[in-house]
Amino acid sequence: MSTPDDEVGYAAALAELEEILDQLEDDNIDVDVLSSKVERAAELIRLCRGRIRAAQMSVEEIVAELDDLTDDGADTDTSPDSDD
Amino acid sequence: MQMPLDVAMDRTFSVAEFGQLINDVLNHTFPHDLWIQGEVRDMTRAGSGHVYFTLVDAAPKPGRQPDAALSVVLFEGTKRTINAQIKRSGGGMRIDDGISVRIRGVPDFYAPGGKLSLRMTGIDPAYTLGQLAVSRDRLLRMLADEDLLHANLARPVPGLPLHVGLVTANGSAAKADFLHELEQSDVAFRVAFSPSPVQGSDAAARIAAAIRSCELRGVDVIAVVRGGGARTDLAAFDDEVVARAIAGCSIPVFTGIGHEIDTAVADEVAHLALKTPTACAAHVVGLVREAENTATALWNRVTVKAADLLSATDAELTGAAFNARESATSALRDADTRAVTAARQVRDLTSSQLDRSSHRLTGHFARARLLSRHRLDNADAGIRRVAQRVGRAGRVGIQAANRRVDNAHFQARLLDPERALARGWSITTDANGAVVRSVADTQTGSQLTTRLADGTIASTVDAATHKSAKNPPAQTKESS
Repeated sequence: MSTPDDEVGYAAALAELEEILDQLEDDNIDVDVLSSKVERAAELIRLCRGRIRAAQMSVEEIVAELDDLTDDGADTDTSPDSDD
Repeated sequence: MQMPLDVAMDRTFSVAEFGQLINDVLNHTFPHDLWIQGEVRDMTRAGSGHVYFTLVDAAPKPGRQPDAALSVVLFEGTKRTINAQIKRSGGGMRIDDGISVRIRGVPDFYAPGGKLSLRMTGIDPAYTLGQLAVSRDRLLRMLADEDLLHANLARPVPGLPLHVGLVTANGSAAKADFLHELEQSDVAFRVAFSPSPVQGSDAAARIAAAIRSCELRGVDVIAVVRGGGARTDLAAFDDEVVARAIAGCSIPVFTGIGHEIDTAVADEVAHLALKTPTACAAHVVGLVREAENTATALWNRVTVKAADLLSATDAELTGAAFNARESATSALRDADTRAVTAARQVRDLTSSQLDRSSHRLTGHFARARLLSRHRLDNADAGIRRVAQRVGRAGRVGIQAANRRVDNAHFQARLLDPERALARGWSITTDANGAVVRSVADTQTGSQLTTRLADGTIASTVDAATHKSAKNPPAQTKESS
């Protein structure tokens, strides 16, 4: 289950990547700073890809909160000419 | 109403006889089929193929007793005829719970069950579809008046929608198709599946409840899907309850309701309406792919820019090294040139000074020689005069005269500077070429040139002492 933090984290990661790119656009950036920025960018892209690819898809069934209905939700096609 | 049959009021009937009597009355009273309209409820399909449902006047909420109800039976044989009739009309409807219908039939009392029902013989598909359209249009106008049509559209879609709420019927093809599309993406989706019937009298309420459950679970997006079907199959998605659940949802809702002609009200109020469950899932996958591509593109731009910067820095360093080498070489060359020039200037300066000194010295020597010759000439003239006087004076004074002559020659030779130099004497001149005759003509540091018989010596005065002083005599330091 995702949390708001996950999303904020991903959005923040993208924003930080943008920021790093902006900083690299400054041709006067120091080589040592450049190295640290690239390392950070690599860390961020690993973070983004990790969230997308880290695990297999999972399906969790949740029960609708409707007290007066107890049906299991099965598709009840009982029409007279049902043919699909 | 007049009794159609002549019935003896005091006769006692068996139940079967009474049932027959009822049917006789019905047949007499309703000699032709009747048209009746109402909403379908509690439809069941028997193993025999017969279909049973209840037709009610109002559209009561689930669990509530309708104001009026009529049992309807559709026998298997008649059902085929009706299905053909529906298909001829375009196939846009199907009898189901919650559907408003206008049907034809004949009243029939089923004696074994003691139940009066309508034996269905026909249907008016246009009525049903028209009712749906009218109801749909009315609902859309109401939602528009309340500014709810685009309420869900205003909900922002998260950049990485990995947590997906799914509302559809359990075990349905729609659910399978949706999940299959997500699984094929190899994306780590987390699906919160909230099952709900998608057709039937309670479908709308159940769909709305399932949407709310997903919303409470905090998913990123909600997909409401179902497979293809007749227009009447989608009645729940034209329901006000579902429309309000979607419009009021704080999470973007995507619909994938399989239909081809028009759209359901749920589609109109959803954030985005896709054609099928598969298309709906593909859209969600596409959003994740887009997010991933955005991150990857940023990363690629970072690496390219970093490579450019490193290349530029390398070139800059190489250039700096080249410039430094060139600068050093140039500096050395300049220094060398300056040194050579300085040396030449020094040489030229020295030579000039030497020339000037030499010139002055030569002039001095010339004047000395001229003076010497003049003196010699004077001496010769004197000799000749002496000789004349001697010749006139007689031989007596010849020897004395000769001695004087010799002495005069000797003195004349003594005056020749070359002879003096040859004997070891030297002539010292100052920087101006003036002959140094006294220690007073010099001072410490003065440049002196001393001419000898075979050359000159340049020297610098370290100290000069008059011979009357107690200090040692004047000393000079030779510099060349």
